[in-house]
Amino acid sequence: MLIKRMRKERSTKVGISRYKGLGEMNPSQLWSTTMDPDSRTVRQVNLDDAMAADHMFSVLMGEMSRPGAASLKRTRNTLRTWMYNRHPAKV
Amino acid sequence: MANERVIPINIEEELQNCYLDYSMSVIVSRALPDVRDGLKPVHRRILFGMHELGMQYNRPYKKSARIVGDVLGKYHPHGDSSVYNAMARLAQDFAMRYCVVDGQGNFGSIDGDSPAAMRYTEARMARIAEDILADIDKETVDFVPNFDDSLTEPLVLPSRVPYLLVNGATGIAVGMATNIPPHNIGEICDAIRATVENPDISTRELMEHVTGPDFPTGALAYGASGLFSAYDTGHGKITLRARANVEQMRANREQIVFTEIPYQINKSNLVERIADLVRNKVLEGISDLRDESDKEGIRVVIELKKDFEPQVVLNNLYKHTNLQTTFGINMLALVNGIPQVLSLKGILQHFIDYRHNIIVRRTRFELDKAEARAHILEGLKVALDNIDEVIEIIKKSSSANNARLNLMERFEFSELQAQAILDMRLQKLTGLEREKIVQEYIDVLKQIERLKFILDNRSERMKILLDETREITKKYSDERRTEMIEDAEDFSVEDMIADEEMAITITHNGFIKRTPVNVYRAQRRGGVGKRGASARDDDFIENLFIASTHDYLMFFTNFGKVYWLKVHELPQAGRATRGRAIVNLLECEKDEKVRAFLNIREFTDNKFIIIATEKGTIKKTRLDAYSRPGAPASSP
Repeated sequence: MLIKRMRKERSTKVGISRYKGLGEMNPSQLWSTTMDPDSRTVRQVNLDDAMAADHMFSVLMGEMSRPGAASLKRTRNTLRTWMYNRHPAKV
Repeated sequence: MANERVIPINIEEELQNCYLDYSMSVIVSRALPDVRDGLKPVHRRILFGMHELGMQYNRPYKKSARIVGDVLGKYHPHGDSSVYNAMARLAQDFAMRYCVVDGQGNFGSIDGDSPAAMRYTEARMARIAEDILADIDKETVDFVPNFDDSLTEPLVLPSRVPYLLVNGATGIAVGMATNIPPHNIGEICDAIRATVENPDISTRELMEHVTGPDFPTGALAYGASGLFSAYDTGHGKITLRARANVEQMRANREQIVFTEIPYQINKSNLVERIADLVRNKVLEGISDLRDESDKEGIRVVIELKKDFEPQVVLNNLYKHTNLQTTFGINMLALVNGIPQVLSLKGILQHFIDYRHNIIVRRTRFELDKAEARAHILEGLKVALDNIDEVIEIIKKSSSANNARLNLMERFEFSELQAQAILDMRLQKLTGLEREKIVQEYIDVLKQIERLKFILDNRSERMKILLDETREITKKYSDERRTEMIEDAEDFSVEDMIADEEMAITITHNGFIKRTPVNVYRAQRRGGVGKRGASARDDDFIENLFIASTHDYLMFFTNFGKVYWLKVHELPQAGRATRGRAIVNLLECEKDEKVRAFLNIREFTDNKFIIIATEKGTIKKTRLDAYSRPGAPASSP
């Protein structure tokens, strides 16, 4: 929408660039998007329940074994939801 | 701090969401192959990238770095080494049953040497790749924008090759993994035909065509029931064994020669491991170990010491090294973007449905093209029939635009037709060229009829599908390399050793040997007897008995332990020898002496062993309590 309006209103070409910040951006771009306190968004990580957090770490990033069929089914359901949230059109 | 937004997040939730994103993305777009073209995204992008660069099998090689750079910059925003490694693997004939990349230079070896850097090597597509990419320009597959929306890339390739089954796949995603073995392309094509002809075909019937996996490295495969389970349910396992031959070196000395090793086993590590085991005395009877592999093929030679039974040494090699490995089959692939465990039939059916879909889309594309061409030809034909009038109109028109409008008005041409007439070269006015146009028009009409017929008849489409499959067989089918060994479920060394009667002699000082009984031929009247065994001066034969090679011998020692040996594990020797010390055959401790022997065929539960000690205690134990000869020793 915004791009369309800009294309219409301006005579110069408008393009979209995507950066993850892994050395892809110029210092000024990094400043204006992520460093500048006036425009940045900070996500402040909180630890409310240390036990629960620790549990989550070990569940997700600890030793993992191959899940059985039931678990595959669960993963597939999660996957469907996930895909729907990302690209509703494709599902 | 004026406009700063602070969003508090909880670490648990954040972790969960990030991990979900990560794991799902690994599953759908990294580690698992698509059931239709059998490719993971990186391989698909490499092939498509090479296709775009025009690196067909009959064109010159190009530097690998160009391919990697193109694939990275256009489609695959990941590491250059991951792309290069993936491409190099596609060119390794020991990793791929059918290589899809043709490499020039050092692409690594089965000894685990890595390929030369991508600035040195060159590559192009192998011939089979042309059938993986065939018809890609005919709107047969969907294209999606690449990562920065500047180009499009195919979601899937229109492969005529049943790639997933012929080259297999290995991938570890998050919480799930896939391991599909490679197969023989001829056998898989046969199975496709059989499935098309009989959609209700059973796994057993399919296995008449697909006898089992076919690895690029050959070798022997065992495990019929595991294989059936893999093909029937998607899960199962088979055992792979190196191919071994026993060669006679000189009198009394033999050597074992391995010419094929199990899939995905690093040969130099394997040889190193054997050497370690020999050094640590785990493997006995080996006097020399050499890797004589050369450009002709693999040849790992193991020389045996005198009087060692090759089958026994071989059995130990299989037991302790990767000369025998288990291949766990787990046929997981993406079906419409969702991971699914598939049977052999399931994979074949998905491939057939996909091919059918490709044929429909290709036919539709060709029909549209043919109809557009027919439309133009129709216009040209009318124009040529009224050529004088057409020329007159054009001459009188003030501009090209005007001429087009005038033509459209006079002959009811469409804009496309009028434009085609204006673009026509004057040489088309010759008689020969005019005839050509008429002939082409007739041909195109025939083609349209044929294409419509295909679109209206499913059976016709299936016939095309089978024809194309047959063509793949003709082009790429080759000899099976892996030998399937039938019904060898509990194969053991006994299967390879004849059940023979042996005369066993044990001397007072604890030397043991076995001699085939036929060595002691019956003597006629007047015979002077034969020496059954020799012993040193202070030694004498204490026991002599007959046992079969498949019998167990139990050795009870003064430490109160019992050891097992199979009779065939005893050293076979001639009549005039004393054999080897029992303590060297068993893993005895210092000062441990064998006190009693028992020769057992089977561990039944209705027989007992009675043990009495010097001090007068006695007990009986059921024989089957000793039936665990796997353990090295245990207390009786």
